[in-house]
Amino acid sequence: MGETVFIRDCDPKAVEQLIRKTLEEVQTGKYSEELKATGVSAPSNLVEGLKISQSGQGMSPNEWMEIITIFGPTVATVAKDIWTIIIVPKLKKAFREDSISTKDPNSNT
Amino acid sequence: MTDGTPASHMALRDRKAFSLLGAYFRTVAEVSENDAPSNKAQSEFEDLIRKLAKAVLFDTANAPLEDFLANAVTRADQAARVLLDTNFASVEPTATALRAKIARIRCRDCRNGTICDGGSEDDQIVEAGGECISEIKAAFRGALDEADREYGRLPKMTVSLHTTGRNSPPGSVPGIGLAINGRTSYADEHPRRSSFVTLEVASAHMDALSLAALPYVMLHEVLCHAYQMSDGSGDRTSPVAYVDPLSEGMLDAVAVHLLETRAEKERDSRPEATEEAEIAQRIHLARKSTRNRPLFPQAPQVNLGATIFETIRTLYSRDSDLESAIRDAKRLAYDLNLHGWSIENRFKGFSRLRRGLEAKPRDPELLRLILEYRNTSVTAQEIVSHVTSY
Repeated sequence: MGETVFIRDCDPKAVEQLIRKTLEEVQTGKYSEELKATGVSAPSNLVEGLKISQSGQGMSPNEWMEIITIFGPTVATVAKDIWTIIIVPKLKKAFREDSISTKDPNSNT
Repeated sequence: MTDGTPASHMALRDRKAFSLLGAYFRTVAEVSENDAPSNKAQSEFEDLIRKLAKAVLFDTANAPLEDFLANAVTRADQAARVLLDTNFASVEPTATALRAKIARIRCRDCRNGTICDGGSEDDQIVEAGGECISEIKAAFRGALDEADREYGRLPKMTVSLHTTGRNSPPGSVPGIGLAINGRTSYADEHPRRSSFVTLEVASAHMDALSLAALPYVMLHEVLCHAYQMSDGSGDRTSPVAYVDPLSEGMLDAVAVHLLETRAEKERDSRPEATEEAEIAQRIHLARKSTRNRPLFPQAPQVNLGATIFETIRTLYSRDSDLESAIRDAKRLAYDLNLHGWSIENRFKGFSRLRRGLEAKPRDPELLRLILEYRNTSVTAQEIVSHVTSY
């Protein structure tokens, strides 16, 4: 029921704030056009039960940290689409391509 | 340029850094020899400009880009006067020319007075105007025009430009520190074809070399990738398991040739075209070298494709002048690239092509097909069928 993003070279608090702010905007209909184009509609309780946390502590700015976003069980499925369509591109734009990864950069697979 | 999918561009902060450094390096290139500053003075001034470009990447105020540029140049000017003291005189012409150059960027001209503020409308404003990334847009437009002229029979499809910011240089070509990199992806939905050309930019690391490499990087993406496989019937997908020697090697060699031809023609009207061609050649050589360490990951396939282009050009030049030989070798490259054969088949087919043309004895049927292609009695399809039949 969670979405993960890996970050480096940026402030994890700023990332968390942007995720939360954007999800709140999605809930109020701000990105309805983008979502409509892909057949997704934002539920009115998207941020209910939302929890965002960090996992791992980078020893240096160059090390990757994990940000985990947990959604309420009733919105987890649509949240996955919203994550891909809205949240990840927004994070990449704000913090730049090479600071955001949706795959574990430390994994060999 | 778009099919309804909105273009996405790097954030305002990145465009501020890019436009400041871009304006600075263009100014340096244009300043006359008489007005050129001493190395030390230029180095100090450049450091100041670069510090301002790096600092804006963390800016959250989202002030208008034109205001940032004006303030940045003023601050650099003031700091340089203190730092350089009497030596400031040697950098003053550069500072004055830079101020004049950035004054021509007027944000309100982009889209009916709406100015980028870091918000959701920015992408549309940049798409409509985007003077802050004018070098990138000009390189992209130039690449589209060149591809249209060269291919001569491009299918109706959408090729759109996107830009994205990076913190660190991509490091994509070993030995050549570029702040930019290009990539192309596809979003075909039969019968509609769409190619997205994305330029990655580490704005704070922009330099004269990267600026000069823009035309090549854009031409590579458009000429080599945007239209590849578009004659086929299926939806195109980006390569995963195989590297395509045709687009990455053969067409890349063609791209370098086109830039060299352009530099020759524009020698007097646009002297910077020579540097653009030289950097294109450097990058191409680095990409295809199988001896460099570290090795460019795609080097064997780039080398294979580039070698095939040279081999065919040489073959053709035995029966005609060089210009005709190059013209026909390019035409074959374009036809093969538009053809719908898969990346895997291109990978395997080009290996067979090389064996067939370089082995002793050569493949007589392959030789016949390649030679008779020139008089249009043989099609690219026949050549593809021959090199992919097992």
